[in-house]
Amino acid sequence: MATSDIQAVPAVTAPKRNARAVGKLKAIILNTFRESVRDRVLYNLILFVLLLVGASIFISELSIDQESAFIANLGLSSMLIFGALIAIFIGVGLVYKEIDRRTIYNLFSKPVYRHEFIIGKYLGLCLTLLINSAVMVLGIELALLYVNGKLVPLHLAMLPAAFLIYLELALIVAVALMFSSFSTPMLSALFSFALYVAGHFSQDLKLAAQLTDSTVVRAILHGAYYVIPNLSNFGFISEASHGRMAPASMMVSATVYAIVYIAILLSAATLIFQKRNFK
Amino acid sequence: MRRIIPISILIAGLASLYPMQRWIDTNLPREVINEEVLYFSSGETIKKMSLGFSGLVAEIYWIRTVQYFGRKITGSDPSISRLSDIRMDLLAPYLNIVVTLDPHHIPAYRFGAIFLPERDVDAAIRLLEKGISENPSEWRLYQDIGYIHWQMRDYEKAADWYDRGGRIEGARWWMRDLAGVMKIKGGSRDVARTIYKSYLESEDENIRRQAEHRLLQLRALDEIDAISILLERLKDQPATCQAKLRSLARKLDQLGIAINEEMMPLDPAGIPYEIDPATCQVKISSKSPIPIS
Repeated sequence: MATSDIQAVPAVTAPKRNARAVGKLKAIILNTFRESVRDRVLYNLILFVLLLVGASIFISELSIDQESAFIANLGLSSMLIFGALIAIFIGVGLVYKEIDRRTIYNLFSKPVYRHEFIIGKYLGLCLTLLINSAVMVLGIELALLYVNGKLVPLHLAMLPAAFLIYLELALIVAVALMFSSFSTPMLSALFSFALYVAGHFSQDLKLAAQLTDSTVVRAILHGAYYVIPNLSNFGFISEASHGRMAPASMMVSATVYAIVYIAILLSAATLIFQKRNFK
Repeated sequence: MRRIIPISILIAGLASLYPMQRWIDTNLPREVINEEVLYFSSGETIKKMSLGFSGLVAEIYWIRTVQYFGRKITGSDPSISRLSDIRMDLLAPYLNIVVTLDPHHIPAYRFGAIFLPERDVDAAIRLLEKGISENPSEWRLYQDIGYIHWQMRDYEKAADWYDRGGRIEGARWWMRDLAGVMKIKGGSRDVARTIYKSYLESEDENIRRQAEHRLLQLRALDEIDAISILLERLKDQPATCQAKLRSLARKLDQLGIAINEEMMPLDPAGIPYEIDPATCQVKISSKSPIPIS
């Protein structure tokens, strides 16, 4: 945090200071959202809709149950894949773009703290993903309605699964943002993608640890299992596509896990970002 | 001061990761094996999707297979209460994926040879045939497929696989012995005799010794058949089985079967045959060095 920034903030009362902080955050969030819309990020929705419509028509020869399960699976999986791509590729550019365009100097000449900048950027992309995901869920629900001709329990089962996917995406955004706070977009994307893949295979790290005879290897694998974001905590696509509702305990634990992990990543990003010199 | 808050969050967050994940693992156990695999049950498709990392992906599938089926079937997983809870229908697809991704994954073939026949013996045979075509010098696969045919009482095929496996360099000597045993069980004693006679010329002493024992066994089986036919002719006589057998001593001697002082027939190792007093069935004595089975 630049000392000049602190000095630029006039002495005010705590509630007023909080209101100002919220106002600044809101401005950064909305700007980030507008920026991603301007970048035509939401165009992926067109592809998503085409995919769902195509699937709904072409697999109509299957039985009703399988067709619904397929639509649900395809829809939720696409939501995760599209979302993850947006989270990684937009996430890694959030900070870099501001530095590259030199707008960050202008921004930090104003009374904006670096942690506010990081959190604002993060929440801005999360807002984009929220809207993106909400539209996708709506699309899945409509496709299921088209396939079944009526409301079925599967409609309800989609919602908790979609929420879990959103939590996963929010975590991936934090990962991408953390890497982008100290690295180039290309490397950040690479690291984020690697962590995303590793996160989905973290269960296998644990299994491998149980199978190995080496104490050292077991310790390393166990350590990696607990440190790497365990994205299987959010996986409920397969079960939801068969109409199963995610248990409340899973929803709560996944939410807490996501919040804690995001807090860790954003704290790390803030600390790294505070070290950087933008004078 | 500005740095204390993120540092505190960072430390507290990292410290809470372990207990949090432990709690999730304990309270919300997730199955690593599920029917998602059936959407991509083609190993070829997964191979293409693995983008050249087929060996790595094969290992991941293998670890999951061993972890799930191994623990569940052996009963070391406390979460399983009934055998019907095990998704055995997923075993064949998983193993097929592993061996398609890595055709030289011998443990996967052997795992299938042990656990698949319980549910789908044809799938087990297909898996092993694939394994043998990909790894023709792995004699243990021949042993496994031979054993499956043995259990199915298809002795001819079992003998054929054991014989083929026994000819592979490095194969254990008893593979060829098992080929002969299958021939005996299948009733082809002459074929078995021919096989064992050829083993008498082996450089391996184990093979030679076992072949000698098997040839004695074949001779004993022929003798038991001859004795049984003669006893059958006396079935209406009121004498005991032992007495009937003694009365046949001269005929048995003429047939070349050795007789002891008590007029009882001796097996090729010189031990008297045992006779069931109720059914008059003759068998090799447990005291005899000749193998019973």
